Amino acid sequence: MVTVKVLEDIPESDVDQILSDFESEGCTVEKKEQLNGKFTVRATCPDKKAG
Amino acid sequence: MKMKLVVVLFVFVMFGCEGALLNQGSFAVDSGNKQEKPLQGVGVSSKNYLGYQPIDPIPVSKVIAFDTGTNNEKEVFWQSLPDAESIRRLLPLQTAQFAVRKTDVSGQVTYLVSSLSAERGSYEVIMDYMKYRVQDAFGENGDYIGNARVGVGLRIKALVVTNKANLNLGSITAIGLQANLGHLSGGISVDVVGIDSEAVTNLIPLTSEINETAIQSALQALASIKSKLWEDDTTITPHIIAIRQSKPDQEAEIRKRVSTYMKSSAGDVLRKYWKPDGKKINQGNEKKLKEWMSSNDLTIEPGSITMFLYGAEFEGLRKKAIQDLNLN
Repeated sequence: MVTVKVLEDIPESDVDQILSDFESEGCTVEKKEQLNGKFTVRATCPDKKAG
Repeated sequence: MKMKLVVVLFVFVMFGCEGALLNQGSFAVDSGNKQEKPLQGVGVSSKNYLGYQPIDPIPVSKVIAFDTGTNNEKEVFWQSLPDAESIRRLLPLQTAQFAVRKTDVSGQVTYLVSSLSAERGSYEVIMDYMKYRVQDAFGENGDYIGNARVGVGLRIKALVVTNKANLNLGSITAIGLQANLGHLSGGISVDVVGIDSEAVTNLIPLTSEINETAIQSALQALASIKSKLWEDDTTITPHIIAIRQSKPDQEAEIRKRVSTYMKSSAGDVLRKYWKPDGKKINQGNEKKLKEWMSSNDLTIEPGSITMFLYGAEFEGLRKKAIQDLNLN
């Protein structure tokens, strides 16, 4: 089972750091630009960290 | 002659139908050796199950409430509501529900659509009382995918291993009876979700081995805790307690956590503690941070630290973490 976590309204300057933080927790990430120019990051995370 | 043929056909069809029904949904007794055959086809995998599914509670930060100032609905933080009564008013539905699920050796979860255990094995029997509201969930394309029940409640969970097939797992008291008869063994636990006060804490029963006495004690305790729900000094903290999918395989999407980004100096301090060089995790500090999060009722599964560092609703807790972990 996985859990989906979504962070909205992220300014472009901060989005890469958030993607990297989710990834370092074992999540797979995707970003999408919102109509207002900010970004939504969607992280799909396993329920428990592997290993 | 024609009449006799019709009667013979009628009997044949009826017995044929009954046989088919027995094979699909009931237990059958083999007339040769009188052994019970287990039920077949009475479970649905959790991925495909479209009924109510109890889940481990997930905190929710916001609710849509009517704003008298603007005469419109708006999203507000649960924590911003002035008192327990305001929160209770936003949880207008109540239900008591029951679910039985089986976990096989591969971890596959199956919901039983009959209250009879099909075969020997491990079962989880969950009895819920919930005071809740329904929150619809929509997929990325805006299509309706199901709903989540957001609220508070009481949950009795029995983890049982059955020693024979076709046991009645249809109620908590039936399970106590089966345990006393030696047909199953296991333990029960009691969860109180989002209802907190000193009196409630004192009433929570300790987990125990299953028997009729333990189950009666748990039911009595829960009845007392339920009455505390309306007391003024009780804190009400809604969580997602259950979900219902409108089509298969939508659980993760319904359970998704949505948060609004917030840039804060407290978040920056905590991130520097977690990743001192900005890239690599300090494992010792991560362990301490997770311990702190866990002791403050935050989840610690993958992705939780990032949500904690940037989610707007966690700002108060971020400041508390800095103080508690001496990061000033």
